[in-house]
Amino acid sequence: MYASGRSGTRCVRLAQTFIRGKAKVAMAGEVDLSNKRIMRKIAPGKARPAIFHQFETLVELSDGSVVKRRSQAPKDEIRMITDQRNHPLWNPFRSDLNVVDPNATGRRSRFQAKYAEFSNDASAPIEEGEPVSNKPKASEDFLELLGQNAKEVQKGGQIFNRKAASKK
Amino acid sequence: MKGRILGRISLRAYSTDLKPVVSSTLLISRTPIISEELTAFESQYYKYNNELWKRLMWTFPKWYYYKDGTISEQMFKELNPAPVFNNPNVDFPNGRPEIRQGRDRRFKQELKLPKTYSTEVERADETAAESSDNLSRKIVPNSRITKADETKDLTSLERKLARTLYLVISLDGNKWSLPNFEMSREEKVPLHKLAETGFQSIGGETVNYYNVSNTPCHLHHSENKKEYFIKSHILAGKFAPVDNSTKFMWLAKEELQEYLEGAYYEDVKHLFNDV
Amino acid sequence: MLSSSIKSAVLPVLRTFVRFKSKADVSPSTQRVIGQMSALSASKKQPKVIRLSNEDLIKHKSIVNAWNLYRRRKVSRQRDQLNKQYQSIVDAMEDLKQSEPELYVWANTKQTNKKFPLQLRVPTDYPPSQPWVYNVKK
Repeated sequence: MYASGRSGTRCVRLAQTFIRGKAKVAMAGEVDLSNKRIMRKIAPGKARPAIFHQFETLVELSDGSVVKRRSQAPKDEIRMITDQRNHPLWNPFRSDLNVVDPNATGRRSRFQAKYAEFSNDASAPIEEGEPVSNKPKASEDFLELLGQNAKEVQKGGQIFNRKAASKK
Repeated sequence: MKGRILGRISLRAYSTDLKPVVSSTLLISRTPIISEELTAFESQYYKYNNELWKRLMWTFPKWYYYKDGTISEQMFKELNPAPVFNNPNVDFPNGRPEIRQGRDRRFKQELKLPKTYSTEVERADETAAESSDNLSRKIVPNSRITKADETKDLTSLERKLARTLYLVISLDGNKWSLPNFEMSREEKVPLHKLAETGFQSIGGETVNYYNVSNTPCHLHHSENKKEYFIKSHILAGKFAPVDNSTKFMWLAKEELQEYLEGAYYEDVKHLFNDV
Repeated sequence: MLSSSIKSAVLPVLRTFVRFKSKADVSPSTQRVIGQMSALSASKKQPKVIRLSNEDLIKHKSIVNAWNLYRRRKVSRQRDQLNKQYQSIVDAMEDLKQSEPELYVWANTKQTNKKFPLQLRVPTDYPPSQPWVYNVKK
């Protein structure tokens, strides 16, 4: 039932989370919102619904069909290049589709292009003769997760290990 | 040859006394491709509601979408000049403007958006194919009325895109009916299989279809015959009759009333979609 | 006089944020958050309340009533049709149970691993360039 002088209740709640849980927010230290915001009571019957400004948008799908919709983003025309109308995954029974490459755009293909070296192929050489220790170190565990070709990089100086030194 | 035919006839004559013939009728439909046609009242009401909605919409938060000092902000500003401010030295006979965040809050806010396509006349050397490949071209929706509608081609699947169409066939060219397939006395098959194989045999080889269920959706009693209805949807392809004398049409509900028998239509009309 | 001076000394200064003017005193992150919050907030963005005259109010109410009536009729028509369809399924199955028990079992078995067809499309407002797919690949 309360709204601040400058914003709605939702914003007040947002501001409170910023102030209370400073450690939780990424930019907690940088964002400084006053906690002395003026609260204004909304009188009964005076509450009004939030109707954001919307534009009428035409969305053209890849096969040329057009859908009319309302959107908050300031764009009156949107054209889809790949969607369910021409993607082979959604059209397993079509042989007349000429799609360039379904994975050419998007995050997955970018990821694959970037980390192609770490592809998990079975032909990776396995070093023989080395005794396999039953208890791998914690860092080795992480290396396994990274992939087979990853190498540990020594950063900074080595830490003195008292146990290892006493064994010698 | 003659003997076989005679044998079948005699068998049928013998068995009609016992039980009526079981048959399955295929109710194959083409679902709508475009949205429903609005009635005059519906479109008027939507227009009224839309205008009310526009009037009650908040002011567009321009600073959120266009950063200060960018080209896009400049373009937006040029298209949407600021309204006349509340000048104390000027008399406003129709009420003083109440400007908040660049909008007169008494009225709806009408905004023009910068176009992504070039608004000039297309270059002469640009061919039609090039312009259709151009991804930043203006969106020009296709017509809701197709060529098949104009030529009144009843066999086309591209007619009446906003309606559900049903397949009717005619063996002699006079009497139209939904495709019906009789079950043989000797070998029994499930009703939906009977409808499927029957449809394949009359020309459904070139059709991708989806049988909704193996359960019949209706039973029609006629003289010595039981018609169980099986629902199906055509997904792709074209119905091409194997026998050239077989005629077929794709019809909407009102048109079915003209072509089907009166009593028969009355019995099955609730199965057809109004849209 | 005295009390007001004490007040001003004790109470912190009330800060209200302005989108453009106070840019110098806040960090860019704060400015960003303020921008986001002000895009969400209703302050100064709400238009005036529509004040309808008595006649206009009656007009509006009759429009809404007509629409409700229209919707109610349409919905009840659709519901009746659905009820009829359901009843005819029941009738067909009852008949099948009596006359053809074998066909009844076939018609009543649940079809497992049957999937909804991917090719069916949601209707759009304007048709595709090629309204129908004639290409068949099974």
